Amino acid sequence: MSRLRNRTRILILILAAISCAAVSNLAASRERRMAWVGDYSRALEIVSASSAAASIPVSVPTAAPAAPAAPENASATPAAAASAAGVPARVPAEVARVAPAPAAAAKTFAPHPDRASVEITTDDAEALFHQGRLFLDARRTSVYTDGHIPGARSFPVWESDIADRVKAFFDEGLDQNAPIVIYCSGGDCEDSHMLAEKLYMVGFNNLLVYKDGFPGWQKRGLPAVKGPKP
Amino acid sequence: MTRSLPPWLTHPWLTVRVQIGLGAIFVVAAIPKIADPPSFAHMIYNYRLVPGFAVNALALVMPWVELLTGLALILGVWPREAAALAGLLLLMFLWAIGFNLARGHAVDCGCFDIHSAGKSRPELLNDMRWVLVRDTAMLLMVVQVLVASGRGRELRVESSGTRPPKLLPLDS
Repeated sequence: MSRLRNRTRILILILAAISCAAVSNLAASRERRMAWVGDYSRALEIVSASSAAASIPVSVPTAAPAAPAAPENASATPAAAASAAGVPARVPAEVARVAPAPAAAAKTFAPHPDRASVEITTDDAEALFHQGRLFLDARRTSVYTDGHIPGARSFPVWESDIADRVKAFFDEGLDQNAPIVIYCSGGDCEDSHMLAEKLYMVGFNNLLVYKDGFPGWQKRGLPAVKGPKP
Repeated sequence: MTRSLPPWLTHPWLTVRVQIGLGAIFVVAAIPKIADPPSFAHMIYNYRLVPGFAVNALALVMPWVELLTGLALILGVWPREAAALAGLLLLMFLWAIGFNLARGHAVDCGCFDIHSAGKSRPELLNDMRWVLVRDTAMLLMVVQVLVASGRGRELRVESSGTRPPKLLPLDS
């Protein structure tokens, strides 16, 4: 009898917790609301940094004969690159004034429809930034607001509306072969890989994961902006 | 079993303080998780022990279980049941940390701070060892509450057994 009462009380505590969680989640803001059922295909896989780096090529040089046509051509200015990629110009004026790095003209990135993403280094990311390529920030909205790469758009993978954002992004009709750089917090952060997978699933096949992420960008002393806007 | 323990270990003075201390730890741990479930979901995901579909649900519910358990312990409402639930949670945490430590998978504990501190792998592994020690100490607190409340129950049963039978009115 006593044992049954103990179990009933424990069950009541758990049911109360579920009710509180449901109400709290309903009342939560967009940034902290979550779907009850997660969609994380690699939740049980352990990805070691060394194995990931070994299995994924870093970048493709311009001279590679297999490099496909139009969208990957490096452009001298962000606006030109943006129009070539079918992406609206989104790099702020102060960024556009930055002279292209020498490496910018020498690199291009071929689509890779066989895999969701390819990891790139800070040098590659910097070159793509100077080319005016699209950058996506996979970190939480609050972290994005604290500082991000100029022109980067916020795509927080852990927030409830990520599916809507991906759909809206797809609906923009961007060139799916154009390089898109995705970054998060560097180190073991996998948010950018998760976002890359989501975009890959809707057809984007030139997704470049900047593995050192925003910390690597800042360490290099590259430009950053604060606020909710790109 | 409780009869063999020194009386001070199950003394109400100690039990009340252990209950409040344990409850406070659970409440403090729960608040940041309730405030930011996506970050906590990220922490759970990093453990690589929970199937993808269950990560969000666990991140939403577990902090509330912690909070209600903590409040029940502090307020003395169903302390035995709350302590049992706290014990189950601690066993789960110990298993999660211990399993990842054993397989060399360094993770941020996410126990009180749900934002990654950007620590190196050796630092994280070292932290995980300390978490094991801390959670074991908390488990001992749970045992104290359970044993003390069990002893209190025994005493109540004993005293009720020796109580003289209730006298009924003659006209009933």
